[in-house]
Amino acid sequence: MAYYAIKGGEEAIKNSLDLYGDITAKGEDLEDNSLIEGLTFSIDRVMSEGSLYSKKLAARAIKRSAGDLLNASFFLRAHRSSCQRIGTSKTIDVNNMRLSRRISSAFKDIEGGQLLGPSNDYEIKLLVDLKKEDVNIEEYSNKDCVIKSALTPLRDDNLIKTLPKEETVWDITRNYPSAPYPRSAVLQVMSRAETGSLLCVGYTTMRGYGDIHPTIGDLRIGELDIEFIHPFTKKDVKVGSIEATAVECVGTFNQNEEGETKLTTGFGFSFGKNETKAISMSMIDLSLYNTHYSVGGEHIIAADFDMIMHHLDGIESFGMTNHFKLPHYVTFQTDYQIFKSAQKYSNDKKEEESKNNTGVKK
Amino acid sequence: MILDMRSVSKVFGKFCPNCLETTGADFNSSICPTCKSVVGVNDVNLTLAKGEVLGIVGESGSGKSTLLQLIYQDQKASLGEIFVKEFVGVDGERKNILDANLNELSHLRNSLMSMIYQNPRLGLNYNFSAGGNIAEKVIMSGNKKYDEIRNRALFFLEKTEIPTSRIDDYPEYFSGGQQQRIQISKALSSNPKILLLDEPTTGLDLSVQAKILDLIKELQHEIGFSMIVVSHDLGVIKHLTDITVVMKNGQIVERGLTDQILEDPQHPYTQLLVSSVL
Amino acid sequence: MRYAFLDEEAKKEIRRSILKAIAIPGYIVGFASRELPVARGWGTGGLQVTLAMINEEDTLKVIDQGCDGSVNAVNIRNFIKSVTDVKTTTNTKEATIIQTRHRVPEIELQEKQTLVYQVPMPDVLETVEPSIAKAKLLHANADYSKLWVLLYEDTSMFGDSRISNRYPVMVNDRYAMDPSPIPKYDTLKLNNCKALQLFGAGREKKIYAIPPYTKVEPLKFEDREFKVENFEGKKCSRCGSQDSFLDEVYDDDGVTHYYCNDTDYCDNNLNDGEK
Repeated sequence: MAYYAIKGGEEAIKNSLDLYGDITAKGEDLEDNSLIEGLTFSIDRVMSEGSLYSKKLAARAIKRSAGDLLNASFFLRAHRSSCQRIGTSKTIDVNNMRLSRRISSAFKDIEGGQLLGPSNDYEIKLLVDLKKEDVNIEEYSNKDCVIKSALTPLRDDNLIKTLPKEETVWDITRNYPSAPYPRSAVLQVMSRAETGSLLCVGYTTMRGYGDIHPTIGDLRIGELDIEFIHPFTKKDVKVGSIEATAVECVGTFNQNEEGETKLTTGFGFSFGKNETKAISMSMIDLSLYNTHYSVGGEHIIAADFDMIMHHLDGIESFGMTNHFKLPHYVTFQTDYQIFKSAQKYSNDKKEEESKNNTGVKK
Repeated sequence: MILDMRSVSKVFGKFCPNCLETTGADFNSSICPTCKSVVGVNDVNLTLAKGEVLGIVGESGSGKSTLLQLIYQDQKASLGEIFVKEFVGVDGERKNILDANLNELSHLRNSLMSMIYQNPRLGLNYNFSAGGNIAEKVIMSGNKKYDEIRNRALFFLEKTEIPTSRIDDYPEYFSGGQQQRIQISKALSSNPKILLLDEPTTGLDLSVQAKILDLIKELQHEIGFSMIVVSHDLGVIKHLTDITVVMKNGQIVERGLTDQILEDPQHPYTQLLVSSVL
Repeated sequence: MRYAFLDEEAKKEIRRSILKAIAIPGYIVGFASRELPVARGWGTGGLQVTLAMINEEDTLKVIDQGCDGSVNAVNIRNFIKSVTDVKTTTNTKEATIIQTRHRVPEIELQEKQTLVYQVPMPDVLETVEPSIAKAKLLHANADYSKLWVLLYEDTSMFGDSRISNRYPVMVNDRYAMDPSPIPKYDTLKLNNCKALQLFGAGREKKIYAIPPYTKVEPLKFEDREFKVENFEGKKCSRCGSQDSFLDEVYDDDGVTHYYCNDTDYCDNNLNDGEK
């Protein structure tokens, strides 16, 4: 009988998971290393949105999700929740990055030169294989390349506005702030945000919804060391290193608290290689803190803290969007009944009005 | 006294110790020479009796609108005290309304006082219907009965000559004069003790102006609330008010019975104003 | 794995938030809200509240849209059981903790029971004021004028509020609260309830509560009736009940049937009938 079928929930779930397992099983034979090395950008995106730096776990999550990267990030977030918090590392200075790539659009030439590194910027997107030209690499150096940000000269000349430093860095996974939002919390939200969502909001700033005119001052990809203070020796100890992307954009100006006019900058940061994300993030950062000069556009999303803090997290938006698949028959029943009452009220009112109009005059 | 204002000042900017002393009518300037702050209202003292109608006249920038905004607390005063009869603190003593907490402020703005703005966009919510706007005021002054709320809205719409059949229409579909009248309905629906009017008819057709002024005068006689009317139009002041004060550069330069001031102005600035009327 | 999945720091923070919420009935308390293996929007708030409270002596019941067998309820119940090994039941009377999505059980709850609601949007003002900062000020000022005007406008146009579920309630004469998407039929059960009622919104990171025996009234005009869903002339095809919330179901032949939405209530009626 139809009614009892509704109660077969347990069976249905088991079967559904089993069928889904058939899909994910097809990729089971893929080696973790093949994913880590061959699909390195997918791994990086999952680590960034999952907010957990572990290439092995990211590979596992991608396989479990049969390639759905947002779902894979979800796995990582859930895992992160279960990890014990050992401590907080020393603040990383991205100027100390061992660079594999470093460019600046703001200057024609910079200290160390424009280090293109491995990049697909100049790739012609044809799926057909073109004949590859032989490349002859003349010099090859094993030395670590560490260069400060290309904006350093401007900073040294005191031309760049510094935003107030917070005493303690916020951790939104332990304590979620309410308005006014501390900048470290805003940056943390954006660094963990879903790349597409961040890209969309960043894009709005480029199409007139806002008044920033950014140029990339420094874009860098490379390795950063993670250091802890040893509990006994009190010395700095390196516990590992991560690959990361950092972008500083520059190109608008503002007055600081003393009334001095300074150049303003925005900062973007992501685990792994994700230039699109870091660029978008830096522009939104710039937009949020430079809102006073816009003359066009009613509502600038990229300058609205509420929009940024509550709509960019992929795991939240993904969960809420998909939750609509859950049963909603009770809520729909209530909607339907209200609709019926309203309809009846309208019809009764119309009937009464027409009666009054056609009624015999006293 | 239903309203008592003491040494009220409003300064926009840094506000240094020289601001109040180096600006005003005698200096012909509202800008502090030391710190460049703008002194909108400079040490004003004012009282209002029950049922009295007070006019504040002056040119643009004289501080008259700002003064009204300080009373209604759309802006926060920099200095001074304002006392409203019936507004007391927890100890039963009369309390400076500028020290009111959020709840008390709500009571002041919803029950004791009402404000009518020159621009109906400031006084009305364009997302609510005409009836909804009035309903908001009635509900916030304590009434939670639908029929009474609706009837009160219909009552005031009728009083202000808005066709009652349009009670569910949205403000943007009414003319400017009608929107102003809806604003008046809304302001009166909570039975305020003090009505504040900021250039209530500026920008409207002359015939509409006359009608609205007559309406306000009639309602004031009927209900008996106290009123402060701000206007740069001496005709409006003459029509509505018993007492007038003249403001220049944030200060009161003359005060007295409206008729006397208009017929026999003493201060040179008032003389200039009165003689400028076409 | 730790008992109840969450680490002790997380449990401590959630418990503190719950206590604060109980101390101020209807007031929205923010909390950090851990990510769980269950997706946001699928009950992580209710889950965190349950996991922070549950212990070996509890008996757990989980329902979704009134049904213990619904896919979401099954999934959540299995997850909680897997991290606590707690006793589970479908019998409302036996349960000490009942986690629910969008419905209140038909039979009256007793003291020592806790009802944990899964909440999608915790702030009742969200529909009239999307800015969180502004809404917080409105709550602080007890300024619910926008809700009242909405009610007025709906009443003028449609004779009654257009709100079908999530009907705003006034808690302890102070805070307007969102009771979660329960039907109006259930809204009246919140008042003076003998059980503790906790509300968890995981994605929005908020917890609120109604302690037992608290006054909870739907926001309505004094001179208007609070109309609830109507099932006049209909009865449950399974147990014959005429005084419960009914589900409308179409069978394979297109014929409409009605069944008690609360499956445990229906089962009990059948058992009582058989006795």
